[in-house]
Amino acid sequence: MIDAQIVTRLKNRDKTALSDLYDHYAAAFYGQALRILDTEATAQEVVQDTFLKIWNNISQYDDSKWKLFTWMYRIARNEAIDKKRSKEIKHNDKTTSIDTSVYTYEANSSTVSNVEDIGVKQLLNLLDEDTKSILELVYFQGYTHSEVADYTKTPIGTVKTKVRRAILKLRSVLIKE
Amino acid sequence: MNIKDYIESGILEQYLLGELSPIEEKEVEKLMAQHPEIRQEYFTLADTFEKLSLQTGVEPPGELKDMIMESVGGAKPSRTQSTQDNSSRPTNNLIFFAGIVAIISMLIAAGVAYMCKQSKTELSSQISNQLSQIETLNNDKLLLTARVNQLAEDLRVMGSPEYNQVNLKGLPLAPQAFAQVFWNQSNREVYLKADHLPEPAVGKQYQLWAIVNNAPVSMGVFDLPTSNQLLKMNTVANAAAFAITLEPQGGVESPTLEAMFVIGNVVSG
Repeated sequence: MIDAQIVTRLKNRDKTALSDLYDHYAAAFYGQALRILDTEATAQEVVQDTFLKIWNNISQYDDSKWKLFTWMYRIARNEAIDKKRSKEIKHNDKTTSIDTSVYTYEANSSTVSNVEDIGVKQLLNLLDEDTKSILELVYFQGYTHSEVADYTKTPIGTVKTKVRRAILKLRSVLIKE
Repeated sequence: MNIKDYIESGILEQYLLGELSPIEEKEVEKLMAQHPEIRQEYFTLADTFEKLSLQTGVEPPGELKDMIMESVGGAKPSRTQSTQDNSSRPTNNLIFFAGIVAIISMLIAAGVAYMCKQSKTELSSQISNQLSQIETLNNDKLLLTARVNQLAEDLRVMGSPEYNQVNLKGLPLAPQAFAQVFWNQSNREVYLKADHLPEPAVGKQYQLWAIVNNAPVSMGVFDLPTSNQLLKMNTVANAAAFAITLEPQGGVESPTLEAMFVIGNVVSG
């Protein structure tokens, strides 16, 4: 998918461009929203809000600054995190377990089970336990570096270094494919 | 500025994840414009995130796309169009009237059903709002409890006679700097209070050292604490002094003496 072409089509209000964009990226954003929120209905709302925001705000997209994906990714991630924090979210036990998982982080690193996908598991198994848990919290569950640092009582520098090393490791695998 | 250290610091990851403040973002963007290496790294990183996201995607249900396309006013997915046929007007007035009545009663029934459903949805959404407020409050309570426990623990360490308090005073490099080490000689635990050190340069980290038998031993690197809490450092059995130097991210094996910020001798007591 070529950024410049699809952006031009979106800016020209071409609805088939939105449809193409959806076909390519909806699964990525839905997967992320599910991991952050863990309830299907809310995750679907997030995906819907994300694509509507992309459609409505495409004029603000600055291709000298962002790759299209990165711009959309931040919208999707913020939508999911906002939703998680907002009062709209429905009460259920699954949500509670995510919210409190950071507190039990040291006691058990069961957060791994939140990531269902086999592919991810294989990727994550390349990392040591500690790095894996930190990457999960930051990348997959939408906590900020400093939140993770606070909750796990790890210096933020260490968290940043661990996330970076994990991403470099995953990159070396992903780029081969 | 050391570009490699800057990249290694992980700030580009935070930028991509949208964790930085607008001012910090501007700074990153300025540096990207100045240094092609940083820009290149950002693009590679963005590419990794994209691949990772695509790889870890989960297919949403099919209706979702229809809903999105409908809400931007796009073509609805194939739906039978009701062709209007005006040619066959009812010849019999009674049949026509009965038809109207039937339609009106259906509309009323539908309206009543809709209203019932609405109020039910409203109620259940109010309930779930309340529940989520309770949940938010509970989470706040957990956070506060954690913070209070942390403070209580810090106070216990600072007030305990088992912990020897070592004051590390500022050296010419930073005369105003100050830090305190709380060292328990029997269980060897070392806590550091480091809220009076200058903000380190990008790519640098402070490192605590113990002087043991006239040689420095690393007690670990640390970042400035976000809420003045005590930092737990490595343990040491027998130290004559403690000192803090500013070193490249991740620390070094032996201290850079020119970059020593504070030092203090252990007063045995």
